[in-house]
Amino acid sequence: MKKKSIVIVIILLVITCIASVFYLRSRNDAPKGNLAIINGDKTVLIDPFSGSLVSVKGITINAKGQEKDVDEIGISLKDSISKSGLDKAGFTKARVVSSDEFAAEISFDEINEDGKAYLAKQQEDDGSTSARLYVFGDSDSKRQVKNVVRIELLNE
Amino acid sequence: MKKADLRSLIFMALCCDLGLFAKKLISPAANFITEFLHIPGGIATSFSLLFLVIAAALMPFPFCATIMGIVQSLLALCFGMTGSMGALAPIGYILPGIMIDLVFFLAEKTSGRRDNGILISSIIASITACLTANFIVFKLSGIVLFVYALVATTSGSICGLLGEKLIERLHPVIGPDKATAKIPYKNKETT
Repeated sequence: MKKKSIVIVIILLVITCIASVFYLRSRNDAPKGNLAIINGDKTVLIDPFSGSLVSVKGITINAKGQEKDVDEIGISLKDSISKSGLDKAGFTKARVVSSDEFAAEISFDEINEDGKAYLAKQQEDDGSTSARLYVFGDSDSKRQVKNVVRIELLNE
Repeated sequence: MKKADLRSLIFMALCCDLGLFAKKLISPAANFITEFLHIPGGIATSFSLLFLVIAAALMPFPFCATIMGIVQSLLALCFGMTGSMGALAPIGYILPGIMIDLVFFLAEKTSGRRDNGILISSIIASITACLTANFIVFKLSGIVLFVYALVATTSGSICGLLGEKLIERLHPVIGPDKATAKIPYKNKETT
């Protein structure tokens, strides 16, 4: 094994560790069980599952074309955005972001369509709850987002 | 252009499969780290690309990694292992392959030694895969993208280091003694 290679790896490891610390410290995550709804410079924290919940039922299709029945409880994406009160400011689409920054975009029309986009309540191993986005009717599961932490309302 | 013998083709096919399925194997451990760092990936792919680097380093054929990338993308499409990239997954497999070939070509041109390109090709391939996934799926920006690319670079370098060691060991066994005899390796058994 070349010494030069080991030195390169160590340098990269150190740089990555430093950058990761800065990044993790700069993150402004919502507390567990809450969702941050952002519209422009306004941010509102909501507990999406605090009120009455509805049945989340539908069929999702994965990349292999396999169908899966979903039967959970949760809240429609439209209602969760309404809870924040930020929908009144107007938006054309929402970007639903998970804790690992994976995101899915849903148009205003899709959000308002009945039976289309839901946040399902998920029970985590540590007893906390998290939200999972389901967009029914998609030909693949690209817009299924686990562990949703943020919804950005965009006007583009 | 040298003709590929059956042994080389079997080794390349094996590396294609290993690369494809190694990703699934290492994913749980990789996800543990990426979830902690709040980034969407970057580690498992580097490990998967290691097998392309190994094959490209040991097989002296031009476009070896590119061909393997094409084969991997076809296999991924057949098995439905396209992940979140969907139908665009072949881009994510072929581009890193092209970069690996390019780095080995440049390493051979500049230093005359193919093994000088192992670490760099692994790093460049990992960055390429990471940026391709970001362009097609994640669309990250700012510090998140920076950390994501850095993690991919570092894991690519670690895999490259592992690759150097494996290639050194594999060369006397798999290394096509006739075909690559002109390419010197550090291994005592071959020099």
